[in-house]
Amino acid sequence: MSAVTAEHEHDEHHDHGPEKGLLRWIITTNHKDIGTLYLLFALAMFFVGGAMALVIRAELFEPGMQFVSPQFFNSMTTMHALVMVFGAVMPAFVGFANWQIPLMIGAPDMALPRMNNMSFWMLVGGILLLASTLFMEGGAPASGWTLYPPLVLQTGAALPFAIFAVHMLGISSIMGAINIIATIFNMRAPKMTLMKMPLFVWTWLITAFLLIAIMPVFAGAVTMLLTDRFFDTSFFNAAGGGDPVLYQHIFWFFGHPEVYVMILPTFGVASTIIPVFARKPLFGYSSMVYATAAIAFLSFIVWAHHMFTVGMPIAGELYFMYATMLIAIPTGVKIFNWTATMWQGSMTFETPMLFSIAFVVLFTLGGFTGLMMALAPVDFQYHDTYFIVAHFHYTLVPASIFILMAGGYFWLPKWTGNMYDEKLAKFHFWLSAISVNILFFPQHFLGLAGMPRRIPDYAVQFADWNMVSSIGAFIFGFSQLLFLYIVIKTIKGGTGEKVSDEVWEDAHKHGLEWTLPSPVPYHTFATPPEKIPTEHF
Amino acid sequence: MNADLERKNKKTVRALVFLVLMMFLFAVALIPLYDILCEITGINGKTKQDSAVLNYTIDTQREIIVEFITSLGAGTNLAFKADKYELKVHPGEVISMGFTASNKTDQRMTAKAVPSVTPGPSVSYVKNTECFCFDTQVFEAGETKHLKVQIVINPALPERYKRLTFGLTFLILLTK
Repeated sequence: MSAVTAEHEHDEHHDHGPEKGLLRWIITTNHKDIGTLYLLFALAMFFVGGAMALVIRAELFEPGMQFVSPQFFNSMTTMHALVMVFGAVMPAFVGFANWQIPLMIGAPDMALPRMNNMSFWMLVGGILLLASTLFMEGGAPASGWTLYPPLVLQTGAALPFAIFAVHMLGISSIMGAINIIATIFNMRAPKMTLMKMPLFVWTWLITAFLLIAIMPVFAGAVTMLLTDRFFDTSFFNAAGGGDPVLYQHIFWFFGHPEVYVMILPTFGVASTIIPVFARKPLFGYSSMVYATAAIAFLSFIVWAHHMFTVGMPIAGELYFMYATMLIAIPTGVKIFNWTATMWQGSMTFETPMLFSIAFVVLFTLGGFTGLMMALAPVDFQYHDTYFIVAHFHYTLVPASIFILMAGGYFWLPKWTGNMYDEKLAKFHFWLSAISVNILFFPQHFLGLAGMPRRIPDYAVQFADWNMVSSIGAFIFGFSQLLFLYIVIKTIKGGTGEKVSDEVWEDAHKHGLEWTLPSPVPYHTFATPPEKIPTEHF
Repeated sequence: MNADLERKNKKTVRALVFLVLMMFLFAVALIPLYDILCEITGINGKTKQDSAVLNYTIDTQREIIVEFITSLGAGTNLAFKADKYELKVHPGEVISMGFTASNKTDQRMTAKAVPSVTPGPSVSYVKNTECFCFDTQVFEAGETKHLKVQIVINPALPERYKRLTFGLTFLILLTK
């Protein structure tokens, strides 16, 4: 997110500065440059996906058909999800990982810098391929991001392109994950044992293993869709002895861990920010690590809670119900640990902390609605209604997205050496925190009243809350332009105030990155640091 | 980058690429695993072809209603219905039901029917001794066929089942 200063360093080891001109960004293998690319790309996609969401909310502002055709509406729900998941949230966290993991563990760069460059450009290619389907005959995929057959097989010319896009995004994620694991395993500073790593590094290590385990499975599933459509196989075709429900099983074996791919790094960033502003060590460091690992393990054995209504035997429903409810335990451990970290701390409320506190509160809310839906008997009522839409948006927007904003405000001064405008940033926070609730809270009511998801029109009794939700959506969407403005302004010099090396008071006790100069030089930790801040782990 | 680190990185990458390949194979292996699991547990409600000789004693004390429903897959242009919507039967007796299917197109059509019993867990008690759904059916243009199904309900069917639904879905394979 920062323009790294292009000046050469003339100290005893002869560092090369970045290439001059545009080519720097294409051929770079520097983890900071690639981190910046990932973050900027994610920010751009956040606005693209957001624009699609506003098309959806504009259409739903009133009952009846207003602006778009039902087919295009369904393309929007599908593309909004795919762009936000694969284009915004995941790349943004990979961007943080690229910037922060080497700084946090005292490594000079990522373990495989060339592959790092390749995985970024593969992501761009994948997303462009996906976006190109919008202009194809028959329109973009409109079956929902889950791409369930047989519906998805009715997609027009776009189907093979969407599937190859998914392949490219998958390969990009797998390469990124391999890189992160290799970096963490092989390049830590000598004194940094696994249990002394910052929690952000831990959560990413576990997330990377999740990605390696699930992305090949998803690639396999969509490849079978491709052969069903073009090569007369019958994996998911009942006429040829296949079963469409099998796709749902394979998809959710990928899909459930995938949602944790988006939330575990969120937990990591929150665990990094909260102790700094509470001026206390993170409460229960090792329990945080074990809770993350427990959540990752459980994510593999709960997939069919997405499919309670397909007609499972009662034993299956009970198993998936109880297994799902188990996830509340390690998640609860985390919520209590963050609360205990703040307890009796000397808290200050700078923007990163505000976003983090909002995350703790609103993520808990999203977690509770998740527990409600874990109950198999009641899920039959909530299934595929706006209740599930409200649930997962609470776990993604005021959780993952808010923490991405928090991380942006938290590290941007370190990366650029410039302070952001605190007053504007606080205004951005309050606008976002209020409007996100206007946007998503009424969707709970709509869902409980029975409004189905993925429809462009609805019965008139849902009109009022839909209007409220749409108003919230537009406030939330346009508030993010303020974020864009603040980020650009900070990169260009910010408030003019020069930030100190540790940026935040006593931050050097919390992580290696705060011991480096601000802005962070182009090359760091050419020799691994002797001392690591241990008191806070 | 020193040689030692390079060696360690190579080792890590090799192990992780191996893991990626294993997971891809796992996804492929899920296909047969799923079929085996469904066959053992009868989860997906599909009946199997059973031997035509079944020696059940007919339980005349008990009456069960069997409904017959028909449906069509996407693009399957057939008129397809059962001769009767439901039958009152005793467990153990041989139940025969006729179906009529006619090709509404002017092309030859190959289609196959897929059976399904609900509630799902009762499927292991429903013995399908004869069914046109065991084979693919070829319809000449405009042809009408009378098709037959024979099922026997195992008298061991738990008491709580009073009404079963036997569904058949015709799905088009090819037109030529």
